[in-house]
Amino acid sequence: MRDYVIRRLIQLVPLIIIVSVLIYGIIDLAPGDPLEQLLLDPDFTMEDLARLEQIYGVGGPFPERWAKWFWRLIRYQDLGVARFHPYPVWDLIVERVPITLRLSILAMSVSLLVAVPLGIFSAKRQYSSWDNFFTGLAFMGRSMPTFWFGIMLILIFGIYLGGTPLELPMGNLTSIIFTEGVPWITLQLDAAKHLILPVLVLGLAGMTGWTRYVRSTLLEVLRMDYIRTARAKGLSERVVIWKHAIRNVLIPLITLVALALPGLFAGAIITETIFAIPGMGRLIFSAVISKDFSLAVGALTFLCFLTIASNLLADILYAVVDPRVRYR
Amino acid sequence: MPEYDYLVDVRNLKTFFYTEDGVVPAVDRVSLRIKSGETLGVVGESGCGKSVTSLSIMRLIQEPPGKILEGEIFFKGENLLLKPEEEMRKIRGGDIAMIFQEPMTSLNPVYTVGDQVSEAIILHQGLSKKDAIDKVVQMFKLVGISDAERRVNSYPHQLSGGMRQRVMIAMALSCSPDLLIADEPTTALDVTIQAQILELMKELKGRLGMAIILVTHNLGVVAEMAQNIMVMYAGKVVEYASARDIFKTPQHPYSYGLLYSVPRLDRGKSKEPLLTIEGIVPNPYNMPPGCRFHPRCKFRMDICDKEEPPLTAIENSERSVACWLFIRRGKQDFLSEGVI
Repeated sequence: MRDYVIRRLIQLVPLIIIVSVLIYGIIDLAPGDPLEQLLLDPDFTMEDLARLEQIYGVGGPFPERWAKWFWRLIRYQDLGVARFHPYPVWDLIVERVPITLRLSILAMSVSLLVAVPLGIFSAKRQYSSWDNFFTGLAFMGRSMPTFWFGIMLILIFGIYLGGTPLELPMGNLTSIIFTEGVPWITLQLDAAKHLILPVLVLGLAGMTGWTRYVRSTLLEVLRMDYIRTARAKGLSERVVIWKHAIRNVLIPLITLVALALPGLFAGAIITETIFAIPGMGRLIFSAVISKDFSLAVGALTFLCFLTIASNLLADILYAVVDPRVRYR
Repeated sequence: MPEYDYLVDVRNLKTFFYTEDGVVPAVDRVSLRIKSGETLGVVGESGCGKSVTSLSIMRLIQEPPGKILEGEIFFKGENLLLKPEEEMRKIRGGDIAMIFQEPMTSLNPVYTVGDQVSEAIILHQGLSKKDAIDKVVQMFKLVGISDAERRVNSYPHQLSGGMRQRVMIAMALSCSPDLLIADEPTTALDVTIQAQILELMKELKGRLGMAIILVTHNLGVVAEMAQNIMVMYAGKVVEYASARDIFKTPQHPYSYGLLYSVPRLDRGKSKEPLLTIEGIVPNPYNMPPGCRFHPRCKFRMDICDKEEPPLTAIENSERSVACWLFIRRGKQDFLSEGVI
């Protein structure tokens, strides 16, 4: 098991290098130059440009520029300075990641908590009216555009239910009315209320998709010979499903869930925009729109690293639950 | 003495499958009886209802699409079909155990074999986890798994097919069942392993004295192990007789065809080609009327496609056969008539 993890970690090194070349290259190919826009300022001279190119290491041929950028990243955790924020890109990412990460992990957990029991419930009653009902609901949720769902939730919980106890606060992560001396629990409750709708919106895709996935995988697993063996032993249906079937359903689900994490970060772009949450999604979005070269490269590199890390996590978890992988 | 004559007494069992394409009469009025300690061989082509019969006895038919429509399954004098699911679970794996055809897929890949075998022991005998594992080691030794102490911690993929079937046998026998249903236990194994597994089953039967229903399409297997043989065709019993009788004087044209389609050492160095049963198994959605075998039968008569032949007992014996030829003309001697 330890050898397996070490081997996987070593395999990551070339992958990371290739990915960073690709990201740097793609953004580099985009029209415009990180410093070009500064020339719009009449006081900005060509000498200033050359000096800044020297400082940021953005002049010269592509391999040299990439090498300098990559070296600074791994040696000094330096991704350059964002143009429209007066901060280093690294600090911006470090500040935003926890917000989106919390949102994503909550969305993922809620999705799983809904999907696994509901998938099992549906599979056990295949083609019953309950099963059909949830199938319909899942397809509806799946087909609904995220932004529309978010707007509808805002309409319901912010406006129609406004003034009732069911009203939920919108926008940002906390309300801003608080002054000193507010009890801790009230603050937490307020933060939690702000998270409910974004988590629902971000988790919708996972909730619906995974429910279907658990249902179909479980139906497949229940047809397996070893399930018949388990029943022939006299085990109760509960043990058959929760011991013998569920673990075999979880194995493929783990890959799916771990690989969904980068997808949730990407999906957060819409959710964070709708609910005005200052997370990674909005950061990437604004970086690309405003051609903020350093910020875009930095944020995309982070997303790629996250994807790679999720992959690794999936492989390790896979080995934990599936003995056939563990001993290879 | 127990108050029942037969350990298993199945009467007019009818198990149908209701699929989108139609109704499949997989088992149609099948009756069978087994005394304690006896072995019954159930023989027939793929899809003739052998496996469905054995799964029906265990009440493991998936419902839907399957359904046991009629009949009675008496086990130790009690009708299993009337038992609530909870009591049935106590019988499964306890009094009646089963071995399946596919040792490669019959064990759960994510649990150790020790865990899977001990599960039944814990459930039916109420042993602690530790005692149960000790019992598993004992059982593994009994079925000839070497290095049993270490093997209990193996996962199925670490064992060969023959070893896995031994694990399955250990699992089935761990609670000392009165009846063992072996559904093609050696079909998926190569020939040398087949012989080993059969030898093992024979030996264990001698030692533990359970009754066995041996489902197979391999006639050599039943010849060696079974006292009685039931031949099935398209969901019907066509002939029921002792192993001796059926190998010597098969009465149903299908049994005859089945027996003489395999090479036999005791028939000498005959240069004659082996017998083939022409045609194919009928479409289960659309069974032929009358005798289900009539489209392939060389002895077909006018009545055969009109009326179904009842299973008729042969006088002064435990044999019975469902064939108009027998009903009209009495006992046949296909061998000396030399019909091929």
